[in-house]
Amino acid sequence: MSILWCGGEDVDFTAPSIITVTNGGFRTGFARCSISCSTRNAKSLPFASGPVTSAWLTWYSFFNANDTNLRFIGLVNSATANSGIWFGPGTQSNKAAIFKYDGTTLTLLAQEGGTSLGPIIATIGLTKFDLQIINFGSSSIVNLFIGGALVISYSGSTAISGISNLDCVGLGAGSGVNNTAMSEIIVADESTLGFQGLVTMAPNGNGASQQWSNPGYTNVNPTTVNDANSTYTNATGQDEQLTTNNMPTGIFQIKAVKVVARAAATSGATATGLKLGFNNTNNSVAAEGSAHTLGSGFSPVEEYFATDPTNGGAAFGANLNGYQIELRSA
Amino acid sequence: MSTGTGVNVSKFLGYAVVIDTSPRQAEPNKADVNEIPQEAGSNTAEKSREVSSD
Repeated sequence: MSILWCGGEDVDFTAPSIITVTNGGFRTGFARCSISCSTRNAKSLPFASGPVTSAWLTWYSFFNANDTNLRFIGLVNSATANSGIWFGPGTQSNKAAIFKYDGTTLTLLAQEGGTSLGPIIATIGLTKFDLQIINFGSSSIVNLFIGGALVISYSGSTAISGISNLDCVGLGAGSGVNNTAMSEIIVADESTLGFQGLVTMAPNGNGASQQWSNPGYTNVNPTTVNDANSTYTNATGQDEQLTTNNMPTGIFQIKAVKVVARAAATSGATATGLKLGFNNTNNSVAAEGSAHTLGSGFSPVEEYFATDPTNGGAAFGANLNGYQIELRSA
Repeated sequence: MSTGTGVNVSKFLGYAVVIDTSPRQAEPNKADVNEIPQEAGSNTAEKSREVSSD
């Protein structure tokens, strides 16, 4: 039982057209923005553990739009133009719906009989959504939960020509900015109904090691990506560590941690790889994942930790307060 | 604004997936990937048909 993917900012997607909203529409303390993609072609990186035919997708979002028949968020196939299973408003803006999309045609699989997305014009406060897909293909079940309540249960074919599985998150949008903001997105191979959400650990100070050039934390913590400004190094084995914000107040446990960077390497450089990790509260142990070879164009690089590598692989506790996230050149 | 030779990182952060500490979550097989949780009843009304492409 594991986390297949998580994210909630533009850094987590490959398309450059992410709309980032910071003036509401997300849970303060958990996230610092919400996102959407008006071209509906944003993709996450493929799941590191491989493609799936069954999975859960959870996210928070709100709606304030009169949209119908649009793709907001879904599980898709990375080799296609976001073909896959999507959530969005159905034939009425206030009716939640599930669709399949083959890159050209949007097909309504089912929509709710009720009006969970709001009265008359879709208006719903910040709400947790959970989408369960079982056996993507000719004989499937797709369930949609809104605020923990099952509102759609579709049984039948979800088959899409040319694909046999799903391996990343597709991000779409409504008709206007700030209408369909998504945040705290998680994909898992177990029920996400009991997941409380996704805490963004944004850099908020310089850490114990500052071996890269242009090292100040403000150079890598923008809410909206700015590839014109980076921290950088051309020597291997160099550490760059940053403190992050504390976890929000609450009773929960940490199931997994992801560290993500938007990174590139200049052609012909000495340092062309990147390891991602963190160090523990007293900076006595730093641990990273394996080295990722970088391309010349900026793109996401991710590392997932199901257990705490700074503590012998023990389970994460209730918070990571005091930990620092780390870049190491390779 | 600055970039340089070698490895460049323009944005960097972490995420923590947080879950309930209740007994249900301590037993994840209670609702695994192929199990349909018994929650509120379905009210699915309309089924498959093509709609206007977005």
